[in-house]
Amino acid sequence: MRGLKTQKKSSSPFSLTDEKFALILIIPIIVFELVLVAYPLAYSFWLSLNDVIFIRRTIKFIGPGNYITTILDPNFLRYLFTTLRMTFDITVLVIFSALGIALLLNETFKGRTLLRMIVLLPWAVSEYCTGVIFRFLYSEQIGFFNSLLMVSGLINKNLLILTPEWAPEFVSIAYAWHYTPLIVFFLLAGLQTVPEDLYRAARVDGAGSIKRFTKVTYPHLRYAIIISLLLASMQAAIATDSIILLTGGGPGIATASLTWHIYELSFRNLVLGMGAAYSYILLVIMFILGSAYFRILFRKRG
Amino acid sequence: MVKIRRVIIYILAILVAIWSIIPVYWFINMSFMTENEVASVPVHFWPQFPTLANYLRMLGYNATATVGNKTVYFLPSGYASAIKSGMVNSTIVAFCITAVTLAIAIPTGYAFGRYKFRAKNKLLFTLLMSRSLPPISIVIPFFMLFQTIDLLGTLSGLIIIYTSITIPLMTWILMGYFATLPIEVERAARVDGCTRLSALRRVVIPMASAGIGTVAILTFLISWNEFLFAWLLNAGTPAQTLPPVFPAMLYHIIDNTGLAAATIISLIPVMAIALVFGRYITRLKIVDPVTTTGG
Amino acid sequence: MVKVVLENLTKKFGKQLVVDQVNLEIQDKEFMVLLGPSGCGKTTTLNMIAGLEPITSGNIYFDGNLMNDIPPERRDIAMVFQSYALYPTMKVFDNIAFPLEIRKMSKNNIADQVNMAANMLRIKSLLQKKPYELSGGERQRVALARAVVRKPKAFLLDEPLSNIDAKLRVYMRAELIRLQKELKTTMIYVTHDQVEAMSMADRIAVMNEGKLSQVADPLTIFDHPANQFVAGFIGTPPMNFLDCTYQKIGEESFLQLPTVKLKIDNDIAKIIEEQAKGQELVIGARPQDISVSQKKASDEDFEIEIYAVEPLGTETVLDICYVACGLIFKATTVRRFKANLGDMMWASLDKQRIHLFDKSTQKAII
Repeated sequence: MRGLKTQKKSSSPFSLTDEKFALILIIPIIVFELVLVAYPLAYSFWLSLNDVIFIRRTIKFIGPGNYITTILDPNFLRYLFTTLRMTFDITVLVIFSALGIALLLNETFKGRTLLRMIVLLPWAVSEYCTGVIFRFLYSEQIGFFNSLLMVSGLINKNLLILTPEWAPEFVSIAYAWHYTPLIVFFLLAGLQTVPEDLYRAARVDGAGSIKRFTKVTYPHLRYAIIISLLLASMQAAIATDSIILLTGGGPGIATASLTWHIYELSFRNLVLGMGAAYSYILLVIMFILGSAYFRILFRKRG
Repeated sequence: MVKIRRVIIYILAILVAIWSIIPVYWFINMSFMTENEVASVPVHFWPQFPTLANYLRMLGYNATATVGNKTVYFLPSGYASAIKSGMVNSTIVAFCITAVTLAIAIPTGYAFGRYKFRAKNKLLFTLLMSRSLPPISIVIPFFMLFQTIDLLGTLSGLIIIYTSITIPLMTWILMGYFATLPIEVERAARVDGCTRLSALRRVVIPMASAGIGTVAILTFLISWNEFLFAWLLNAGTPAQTLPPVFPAMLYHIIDNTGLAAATIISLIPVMAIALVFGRYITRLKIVDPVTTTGG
Repeated sequence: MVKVVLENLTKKFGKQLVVDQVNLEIQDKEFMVLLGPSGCGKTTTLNMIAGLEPITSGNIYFDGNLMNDIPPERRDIAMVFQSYALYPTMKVFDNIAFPLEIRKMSKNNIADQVNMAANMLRIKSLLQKKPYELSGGERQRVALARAVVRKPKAFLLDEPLSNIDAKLRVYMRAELIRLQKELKTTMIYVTHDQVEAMSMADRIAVMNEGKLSQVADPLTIFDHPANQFVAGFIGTPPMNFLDCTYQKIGEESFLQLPTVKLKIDNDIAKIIEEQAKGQELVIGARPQDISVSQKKASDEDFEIEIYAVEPLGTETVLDICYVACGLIFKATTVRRFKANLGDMMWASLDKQRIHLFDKSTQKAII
């Protein structure tokens, strides 16, 4: 059963393995990552170590100076806190409403397809348009909410909605309105993988709606919810467009998140070195969140 | 008991629908009114004298509106040319970015979705990180770089920086998509005589056309809706796209109805796409491409 | 038209050994079936022959040429997959034409070949349809046509009948046999269905846990299984196994069962003494070789209780419980065998036809 007498060598000198092929295919993205991500980030880091006076086109090396100024800035914690606050608001709003809407869309009723299309709408509206629209919704004089409250007689004087105390919450509502549909459809897909038989068995065993949710739905959905939580908080932390157009960081610095402040530093005050330093601090935060996202995503695959 | 459940479901459905539509509706409402009507007390929840005047003047035409027995004349808005050229530029950028993104995301997504190779996990992590980079962090170095190489205020520059958002995201999505395609069909192609590359070209990509098409549409949408780069890099230049018009209108004049009309104009293409292709977009695995179930 | 030789073929997935030192010679124009339970490594072996799965160690030769590094597209083989793997975006005609198109055949030539293949598989009427419009059986014939059209050196088939309903499966079996004989081409066929293997193969290679258990023609495998695994895998209802001990009392030799002794001839006793590693043996008795009757016919009959009755129409299968040890056997009897649950009866083994296995090695002795 050994090999036959004539053992001709295989005629191909170069054997292209699966791995080599894949490596060839990913050359473009490696180039992309190096040129368009790694290089700018490295440059940004270098900028953060410099005092950049844009108008005069001068760049002076000051080492960690920018970072020290940042950390010593009395408002630094304020910006950080505002970011955390809005991130928290948005995440909570998004997860709960997305879960609710997904559960609703999982039921069968007439007009469900229509509702699906309608639910998608806010996500099609860009983040900046969301900012513009909600700016007017919240408006004292001509806003929707004021009009509604007036007409229903609940108030008789126009209400300032975007107060320094509560503006962050209202900005969060606007962003959540825009972002929720993405999570809705992700959770909905997860819901639809729950085997119908489990619900039937639970119903036969006498479980009510709430019990069915906690015992059947939630265990299946837990992983998806965790991922959604992470992704939503990551996106919320860097939300900028809506803030720029809705409140411009105000009133005062009520809604000035880290990203807003970076914009302000770099493009209003033109202190790009500081802006770069701040953005690196933000990058570190995002890196930590992203690592968690990655680990959870790929841990399940085993 | 079941009856009550039905009723609750319908009520909730209506509430959800209202919540999703109201903000856009409010602007549609405003856009069909004249400025006076917007400020009227008690407020009008639908236009009493609906008029297309706002749309016409934001697009650069003279317009008239009949309010009761009065006729109001409007001149074209000063922002009309910015709006029109903005739309053209946005479209050009969107098409180009879609082509570039697909060219890179398709082979990469396929490699990640189908094959194992060394450093795959590291690269995947890098991809994820690129996807979650705060845009503001990238703008600063690009701003300085474009300054030096004279790409500031150009469409090409904008296209280049947009790829930093779209390529990681679309690769991520396509990776999940390619992994769901039946591998036996690829194997059949190889046995039938295709090299890996020609199997990809002749069999896999046609099979993936639905997913690729949807990714293309998604890229188009994202590019059209992008604000930060467009504003910080190209505002005020001939290469200005549509989004930067809005902060300008917000901060410089008070023209609420014009703003509303402009907003709706910028929303129409996007909403039309969402309506037509929404079904496919919601099936893409944007959040989690790794597990075989779940979006 | 190729002779395929597998030499010490091994495949590991990480630490898991999936194919373990397989040595097999498949003759030119032979219909060879790789048979085994799920996970035994047969599909992986087939994929390695096709070149779709890289080899961990060992060699594959086509007519003496080493094929290890040659990619599948240059091996000149055709493959039919379990899921048929038709190209969903192409019409049936283009599906079948695809392998010819790749080889840049002229359009007229292609049309001729495709029509010939379509005629052979009787799918002429389906040529303009798309795969999603076809039924399972139709798709399978398209997959076969696509394989046939090229006149390859060998056909590789991976459980092609698994996804077809039972009735059609029986019909397709005959079709496949006919096809292979008509095409006079080497065919390597993977399945877990031993009926398929028995009915179609020139030779069967039985695999278990990555290793080859036995390679022989169907009747040999049935009549002379090399070990307990093969014996138990082939044949339905499956063979029954019963532990026993070999005893020699004076000049006479016996097999000691729980309640009876079976006398065995001296020449058989000699074989046992030579080959067995001890006294512990296992008797293998096919259901067809166990008879059940209400009366005790000889001292070698043992008492059983009727555990279940399966009237199949052509015959009746009895599940009988050997009272003394609680083991349940299957025995086939005549069409209308009268028995009720719980009845006590007597069973006897046909000594001429039983198999003996060494309990420790599971290898066959007789």
